Amino acid sequence: MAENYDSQNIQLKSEPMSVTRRAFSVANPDLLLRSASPSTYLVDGEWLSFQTTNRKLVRASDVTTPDAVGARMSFPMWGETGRTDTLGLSGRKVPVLYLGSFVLDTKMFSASVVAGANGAAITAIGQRVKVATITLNGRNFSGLVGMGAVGTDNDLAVGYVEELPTNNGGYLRIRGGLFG
Amino acid sequence: MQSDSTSANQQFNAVFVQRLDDPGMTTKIAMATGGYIRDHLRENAWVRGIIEPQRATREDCQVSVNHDTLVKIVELEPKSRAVSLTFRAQPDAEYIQGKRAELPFVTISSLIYQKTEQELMAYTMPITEIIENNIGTDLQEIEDREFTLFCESAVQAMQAEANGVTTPPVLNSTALQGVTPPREFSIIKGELARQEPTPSATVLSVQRRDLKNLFKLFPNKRLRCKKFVITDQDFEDFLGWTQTDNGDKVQSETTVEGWKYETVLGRTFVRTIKSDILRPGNIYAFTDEQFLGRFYILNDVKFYIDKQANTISFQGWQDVGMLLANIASVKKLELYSGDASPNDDDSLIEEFTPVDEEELGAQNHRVDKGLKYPQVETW
Repeated sequence: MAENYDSQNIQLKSEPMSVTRRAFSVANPDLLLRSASPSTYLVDGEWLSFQTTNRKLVRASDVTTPDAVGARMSFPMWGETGRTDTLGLSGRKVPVLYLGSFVLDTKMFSASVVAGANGAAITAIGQRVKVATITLNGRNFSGLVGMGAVGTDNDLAVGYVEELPTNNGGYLRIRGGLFG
Repeated sequence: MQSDSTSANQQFNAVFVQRLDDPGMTTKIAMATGGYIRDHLRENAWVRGIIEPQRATREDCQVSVNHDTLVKIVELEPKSRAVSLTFRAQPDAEYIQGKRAELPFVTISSLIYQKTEQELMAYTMPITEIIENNIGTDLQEIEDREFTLFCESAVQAMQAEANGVTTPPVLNSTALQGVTPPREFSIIKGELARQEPTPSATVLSVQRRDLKNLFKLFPNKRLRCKKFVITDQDFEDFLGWTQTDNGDKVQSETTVEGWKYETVLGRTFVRTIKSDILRPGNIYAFTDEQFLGRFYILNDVKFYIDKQANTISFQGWQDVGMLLANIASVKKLELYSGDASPNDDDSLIEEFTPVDEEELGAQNHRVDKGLKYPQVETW
């Protein structure tokens, strides 16, 4: 049976109280309704950035372009699709891990995609990761891909690999909450 | 020399800190709160005057298998009708199927307020108690803002349906004076507004006939208007009604005592000072709440107070849910000629819709800019 990416794609593995969690409105509220956006709805674990004009959230990478790299500060969405505490707000706010370091397991990654000018497959603990458009089950998401060596891959890093999926039940474990 | 009130307030701040040092102590000392200048009026939520909140418990709620949020399922009245028949005929059969709607619960929270105990001593007013007292009304401001946006979505949805379009039509004075004006089904312009030659954000006076026309929007869906909500600014227009509008008795009364009645044209009304949420020029009218929706409180206001080392933190929050289930049960009167539909044809929509949450609680005073009189600096 194919992997289901509809919900519970990330699991926080560090104390939630040590992370500042905030809720922000999404720029396109229809992305939170499966009925309105059947092939493009947001799922938890995707990475979101503020728009350039206001603090409403959009996907960190262009999901219409495979392997597109996210170039701005971004946060993991920490709330499953369809949450009624999100849909019940007029502003359709989603919770993100906003400030502070965290460790999380995520299914929103592609170990094989090489994105950007000097990207690399995810192969090593301690490797940096960045946000890019990945394809899972035929759908595009804003997820994590590997980075090349320091000094060669100058894209925006969002975390470090703490455990490889082969040793972690298929989840990529990262230490995140950093920029640059 | 400090007054007794000042000294007592400082003592409150000191004791407040001391009590937080004692584990489990959250008792507050009741203090006189004079001696400081208030910035603006605060009031309870006007939505609570439209739909009375009821208690909900975990047992009333449903849970999804995909996430840990709660909804209450609210049932809607099933459709039914009768037919005329001959003696020999039978009516059509209909298998009963009722409709339901989810009422989602959300959290409304204050900011997390923090201060060091040393700096708290610098205040003569009981600053923590003031903020704590204000948190209740701050939370209810969000209730009003959310419900106002729900009302606006409801009336615009009905406008679109009534006009046979998916996007509500432009509704400004230009459109209404055009060859094929849009149908005013759930939103109606005031008489003065519809006559304006150029659409604008200028709020014009509410006329008696404007309210009459607003109430008349309800019966075409077999509903009756019971109450409406109005800003203080628009409410003051009642005092400008003439003797022709009011009659001798009411005219003489209002001249001396203002509008002291709880009803206007047979409908009760809720006044609100929160003109940054319900913007002047907007009057929403409602049916009885049994035709309108529901408002549930899952968890009433809770406070969290903590002290870590020398830093005090406190926060208040509540968990509530609102549902505007019957969108035909709310109508709107607009007293301005500009377009407030999603088209924003006149680029004025920010004048007509609630301000962003971040802008709520804006201060009136300009002390930080030195605008106080007399202007004195101390070093």
